[in-house]
Amino acid sequence: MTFRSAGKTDVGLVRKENQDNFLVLPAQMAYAVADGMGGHAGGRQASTITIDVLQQELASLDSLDQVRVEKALALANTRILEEAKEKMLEGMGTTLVLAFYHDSRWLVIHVGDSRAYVVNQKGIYPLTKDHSLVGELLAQGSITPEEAKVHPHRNVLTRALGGHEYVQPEWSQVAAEEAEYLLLCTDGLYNMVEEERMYTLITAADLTLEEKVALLIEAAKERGGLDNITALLIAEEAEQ
Amino acid sequence: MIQLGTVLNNRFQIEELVGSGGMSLIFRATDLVKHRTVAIKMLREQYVGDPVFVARFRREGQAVAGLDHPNIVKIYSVCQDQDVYYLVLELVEGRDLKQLLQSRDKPFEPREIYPIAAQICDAIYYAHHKNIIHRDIKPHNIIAGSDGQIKVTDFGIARAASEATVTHTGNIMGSVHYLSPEQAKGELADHRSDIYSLGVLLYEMATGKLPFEGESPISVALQKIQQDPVAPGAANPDVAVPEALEQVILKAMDRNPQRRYQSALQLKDDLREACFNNRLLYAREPEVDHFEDTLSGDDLSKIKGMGLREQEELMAGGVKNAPKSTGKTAVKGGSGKGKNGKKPLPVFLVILIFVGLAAGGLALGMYVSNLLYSPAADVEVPAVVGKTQEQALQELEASGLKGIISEDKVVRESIPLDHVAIQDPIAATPVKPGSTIRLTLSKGPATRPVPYLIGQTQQAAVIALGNASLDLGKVETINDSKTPEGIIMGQNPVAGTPLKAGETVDIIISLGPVIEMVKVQSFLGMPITEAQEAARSLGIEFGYTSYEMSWDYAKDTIIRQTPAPDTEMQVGTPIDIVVSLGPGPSR
Repeated sequence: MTFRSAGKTDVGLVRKENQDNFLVLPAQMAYAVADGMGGHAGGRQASTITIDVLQQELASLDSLDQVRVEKALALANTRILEEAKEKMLEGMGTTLVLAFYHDSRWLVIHVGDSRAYVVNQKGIYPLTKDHSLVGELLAQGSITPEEAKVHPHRNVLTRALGGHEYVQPEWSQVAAEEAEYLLLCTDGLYNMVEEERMYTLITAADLTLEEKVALLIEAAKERGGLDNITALLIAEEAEQ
Repeated sequence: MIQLGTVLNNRFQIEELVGSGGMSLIFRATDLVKHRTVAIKMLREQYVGDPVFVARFRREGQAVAGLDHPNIVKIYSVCQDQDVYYLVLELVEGRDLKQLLQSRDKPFEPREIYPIAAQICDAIYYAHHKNIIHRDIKPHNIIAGSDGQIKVTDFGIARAASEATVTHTGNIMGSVHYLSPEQAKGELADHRSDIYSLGVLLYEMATGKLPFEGESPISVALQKIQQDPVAPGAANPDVAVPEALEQVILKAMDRNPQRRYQSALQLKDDLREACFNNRLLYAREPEVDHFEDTLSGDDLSKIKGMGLREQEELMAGGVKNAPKSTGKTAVKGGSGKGKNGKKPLPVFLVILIFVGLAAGGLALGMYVSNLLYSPAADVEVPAVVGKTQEQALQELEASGLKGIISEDKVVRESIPLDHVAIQDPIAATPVKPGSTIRLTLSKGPATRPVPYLIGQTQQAAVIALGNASLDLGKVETINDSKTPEGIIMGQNPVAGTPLKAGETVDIIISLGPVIEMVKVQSFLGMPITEAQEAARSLGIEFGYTSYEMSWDYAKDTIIRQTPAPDTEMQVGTPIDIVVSLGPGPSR
């Protein structure tokens, strides 16, 4: 089993700095997207530290497992806390969504509100539940999806790397055969672009993965580009 | 005997016989898994048939395997391959101290002694801290690497060996020269027994002689119990042992464990001062509360060498203070060779003792002068040791004497709290009416904290209790799913409770989980909330829950479970479940 992927990150139209980051480890079949938070360059550092730690801890391994991935996350968390203490950048943190292929499944770990979507012929489905105030209110049924979209505290996270001494990641999985495409993205994409539009772009015929990712980012900018935008699209390598 | 080239447990290839001991053979071997050279210490065949001994050998090995110190030969594992029982040890290249001692034509200089002894002290101190007593410190068990690194080996194994040897052959162990007097008497060894053995080792290194020589192990053991050694300085006419080093060795080898160094670190500190600066940090002074012990120490031999009158005077006065005075004089003056009294003690020294006394304590000094200048005493001091404070004071008063209670109390195993432990002067001493008798009260028997036993095996607990002079009480066994079989899961009283010597600690040992199989219930397709409720009512626990997208199962229903439905599982096994994230079949 081999996969192709295309990833792109864009500062958007409003923010001055891009605090998003992404990582592709082809040999480990692992993919990750991180969305930093906290001003004064803290957010950018937090997501960069996380991607660096993952690269350093996972890129040399023959294959990944859940324990190793959780350990890498814990290490990233510690590094962020140390850096925050050292540079007095209190409150810096980052989201993370990481997917890796293992034994015919996609295993996905996430902290915060960056998402993994599964796309197949039946539609586009979020695989992860947002660790945000709005996400949890929504999951409880306290608010409707419509209310969620305009909720004033959409950006409040309930879990993040660097937010707490301990990481509280959540695992989800999907059979690889169900996921024709796997999309990892930050809220800069899904808050701007409705799922139907994302689905149309991702499943469009005659477009390369790179073109699809570029169009997703353009769509977010067309709709305001209020936040940094990152999209990482993965598909099974077509047999030649 | 095992053939060279044999591979034990598919892992350790035996290469060469490199040594042997009373109970074991030592081979060099290759660990085929870890690709390193190790030492294999194999139980001799004659012991293999004794299950009690084999179990002890293995469990001791396991207890000692927890020691991890640069100066202790590491035990990697305790193994068995059919009838072969063996320990896998760190392989240390070098000569043992016995070979080293034999290869020299002169004893060690102090500056050579310290670097070796300091490392032994470190090793012993660390082990004592972990509640492991070596019990058989001797040159054969100390390996000196070519780089100067010292490694102590055979920790704790000695106990297994000595117990077994007694049952097998009825002999005491061979290395009686290094045994402490209490071990020779057959009493329990404690950490100070190791200090004694180290003292003997130092004696041998410094003088080239052993402190006690005899025709048989028994005669050596008897000498140890009854006599003090010849002072190191007098042991070998060709060697000058510095005064302070001599004092260190004698303090380490004191027949009374309480008067030895109480830790290997103290010994190490004093050795350093003695070897490099010829001075001491811990003076060798007796404890005030052990009249009998002191009397049977240096003093007895001194007394033997005296005239009758001198003896009487000394006995009537504070004989227990005598060594203090002589000791200090000797060290400070640097002149006290032959203190252990082969010659009669000169009269001027006796006077010196009393001068020392007067300087030491005014009350005692006055009492002594009282004695010296009032030969016509007309009252005998009554015996009040063991009586209550009130009773003792009454009896003294009835004899026309005054009793005063000393502020300090002493630990006495045999005397209850606040009963008289010491009277000074002792019973039947003739004194003038109106004299003052000092009474020291007992703190009662010493208590020791109960060790923490939970998580250990019964064998390890017996060792830990033995080290604290406590006994194992009732042993209860119950099933427990969280504690492996044979492991202690409860103790009474709890760790830290002060107990007196010989009191017992009850333990509860796990029999492991009750193994009862049931057929696994199916939760497939159930909504998670409903499944949780059902599980709760059935007493089943859910283990790891993971989430997976499914187009076959509705959101929040159970897709898979491990173990699978209708298989058999042990009661109490948690069931791992996979819950659907949706979207489910309807969409």
